[in-house]
Amino acid sequence: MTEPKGKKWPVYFVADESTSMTDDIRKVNEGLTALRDELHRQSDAAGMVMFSIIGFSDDAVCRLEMTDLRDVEGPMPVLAVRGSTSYAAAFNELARRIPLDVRKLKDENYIVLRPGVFFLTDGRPNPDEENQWPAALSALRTMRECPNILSFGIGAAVPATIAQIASKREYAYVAAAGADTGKAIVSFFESLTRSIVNSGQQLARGGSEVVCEKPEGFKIALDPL
Amino acid sequence: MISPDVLRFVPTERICFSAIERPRESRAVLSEKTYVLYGPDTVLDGWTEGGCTFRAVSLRGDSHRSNGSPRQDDFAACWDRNKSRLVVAVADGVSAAPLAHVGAYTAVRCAIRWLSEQPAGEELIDWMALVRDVSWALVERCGTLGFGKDPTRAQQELATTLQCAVIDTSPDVEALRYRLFSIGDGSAWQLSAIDGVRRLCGGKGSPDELITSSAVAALPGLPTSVAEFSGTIGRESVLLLGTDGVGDPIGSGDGPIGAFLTESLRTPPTLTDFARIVEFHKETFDDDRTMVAIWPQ
Repeated sequence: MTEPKGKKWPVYFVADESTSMTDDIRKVNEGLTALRDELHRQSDAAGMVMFSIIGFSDDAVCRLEMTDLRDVEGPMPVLAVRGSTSYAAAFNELARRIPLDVRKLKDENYIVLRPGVFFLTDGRPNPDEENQWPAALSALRTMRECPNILSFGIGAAVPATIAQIASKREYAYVAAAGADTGKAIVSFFESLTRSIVNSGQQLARGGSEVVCEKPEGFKIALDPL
Repeated sequence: MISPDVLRFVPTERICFSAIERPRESRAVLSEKTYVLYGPDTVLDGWTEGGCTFRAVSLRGDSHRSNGSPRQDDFAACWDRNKSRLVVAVADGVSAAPLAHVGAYTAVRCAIRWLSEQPAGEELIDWMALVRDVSWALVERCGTLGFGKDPTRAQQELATTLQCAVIDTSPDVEALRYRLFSIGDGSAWQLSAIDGVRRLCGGKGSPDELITSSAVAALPGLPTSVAEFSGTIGRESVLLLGTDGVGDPIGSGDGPIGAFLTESLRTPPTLTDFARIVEFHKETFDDDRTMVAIWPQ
């Protein structure tokens, strides 16, 4: 053991890039820029956040490798709409990437807090993957570095599926049926930003919970009617 | 020599923090986060009596200062002239417990009362009896807060770590004899110019663990046993007790923070200098901090 350089909290924003997001992807990209700007303003709270962006469709693409967002001055990487909705690809990419990122931070002599995943989707998983994505999710959950997963459904997302993805009931949210998805995305990013700022501090003080505020216009995915 | 980029606010000369570079102004503790009592941002104490010099400080961390939460660390200490004995208690309320600050406050005062009541010359200290006493005090406090005298509820509302030390002093003996225990993730260290900062006990899990565990043993939950650590502190050495707010950035003690403390605490600083030393800045280490230091005279 040596003197640690600091504490780091790896955070993964995992976004649906399927074609159904065509009308909304611009809002997502604007939200990411706003998130970056807010973390610049709250520099102390953002000090432990290491942020990654993964877009998924037919496959998963890392749009931003694990980065201290305070170091990102220019344009943020953008998500781009492409094919289908492979949840399996997203979970497999997380399962591959998270251990590498945690090891990198450990090798740099940081104390690493349990990673957090913020998963945003507007649709159903590909029908030909109905067994694959739960298996991929299960593998992710059984890793030593298993993250806390918070899932958010908008548009045609299925509440039961969103609830299945989240690490716990209170981490699964869906936008109200028929809600404007553009507004829902704006609301999601407001919640995401507050959650990242508050959770980083809470986790660093020894808390085990990601602090997540329900985005305006969303409800817990499995709330009774 | 301490690298200025590591200790951003530490000194161009000893421990004078730059007023310009200090973090933003603190917020007052929000009433909805206090509930029951006034808790000052910083508590500072110290004296020289009976062969040892004592310093202690408990500071609200920058994250609590910025979000209006109370300090969840606390300490208490008592010097008994007749027994030539110093007793110290340090607690760190568990952040998940809404009234952790009340738990820490209750635990250290109960522990000090119990230790002060032990007869002089007692060779064996029944630490488990002390732990049971403190745990019951937390359950009682839970009752007076209106939650009922329920151990489970007390664990949810008031959970706290606890460290206690008994230091037997004598002007005729050069070394101080200490006996201590720790429940939770507080640490004790011996500091000397030759060996630097050497951890005696405590701290967080294995250095090899990939993800830092948030689990911590805390009262009123009772441990199955309590391990005592004992030894002596000679001249040129200092006994330190601290919460994880201090222990996490110190780590193994062989880095810049360890070097800074070794240099700064070689001799007892003034009370206010002691607070400034413990308030070193290191990015992302913004938890409450409590440190107790004891020097043989």
